[in-house]
Amino acid sequence: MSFFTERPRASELRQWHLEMRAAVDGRELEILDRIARYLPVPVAILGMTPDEVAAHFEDARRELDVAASLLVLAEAEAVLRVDYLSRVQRKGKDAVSRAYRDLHKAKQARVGLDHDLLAIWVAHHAECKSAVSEFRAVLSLRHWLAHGRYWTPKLGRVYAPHDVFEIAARRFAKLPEVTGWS
Amino acid sequence: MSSTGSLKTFLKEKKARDEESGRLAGKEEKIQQRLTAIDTLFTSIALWLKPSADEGIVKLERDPYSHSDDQLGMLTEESLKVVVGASEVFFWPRTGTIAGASARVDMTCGDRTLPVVLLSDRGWHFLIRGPVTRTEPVTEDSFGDALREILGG
Repeated sequence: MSFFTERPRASELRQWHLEMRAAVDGRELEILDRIARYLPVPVAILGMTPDEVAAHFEDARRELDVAASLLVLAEAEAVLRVDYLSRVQRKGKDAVSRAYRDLHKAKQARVGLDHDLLAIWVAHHAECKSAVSEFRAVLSLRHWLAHGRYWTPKLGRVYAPHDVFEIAARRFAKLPEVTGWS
Repeated sequence: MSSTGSLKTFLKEKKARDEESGRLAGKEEKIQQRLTAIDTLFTSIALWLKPSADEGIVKLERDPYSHSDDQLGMLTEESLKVVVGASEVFFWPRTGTIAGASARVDMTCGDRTLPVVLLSDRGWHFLIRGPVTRTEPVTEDSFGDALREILGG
């Protein structure tokens, strides 16, 4: 299998999020300035009270944040899946590679991120258990976002994109020889 | 507590700051413009509903409506209530700097609200928010459509 190599790296996604955040902030300031000077505003903003303008841009920031979180989590999943398939191809002798090959015989590429791939890591590397547990918790956020947010999630905490990035980074730091997260 | 003298100084400085920042400039004129514009809108609505009001189908109530504005201070303007059967449609002016408009009156019935904005040189317009926000001049026809929609007809 050949892998699509032009995926944005996690650090690039992080930078993109920061720049888009700054763009939204800048747009809000520009709009507020136009309103204060009684200049025409974009039709989407027309007629808004100051509270509504603030809510409009807060909504934009929140949507940007959830989009960034989903992209970072998707990239974390992609890195782990590419590692899985690479280990199967390389036929490595380490315990995880052996377990992956057995898994591949049974399921090929149709493996679950949580109950298959992460379960193997925890089974063979007890030291990564805590980081994987933390990541598993944030997978509830990924699941909720990826399925259209049609239910009220029980996430246990608020995850900002920065938190998601840090949690994924901590997990990869605990997984030996998994490359691609940068 | 401040002495009377220092309070006077404080008030004098506050007045000077407001004059300097332009907050006082044209204040009375702006208030009068708002009152006139709201009166024009409510008078038009009353005219359009007169046939129904004369037959007792709808009842119109115009009442003083007091609220506070950052720039203009306490304002006593008007609200309008249109009573149709058990339903009430309430028209109430909003304060604060309205983006791209000189005034805004909200047309509210239950949890539905349709903003009506006063656009420079273009008069009152309904503000219809959707995937694309658009404006519709307030006319007898568009008002009739808006009233039907907000009453769930």
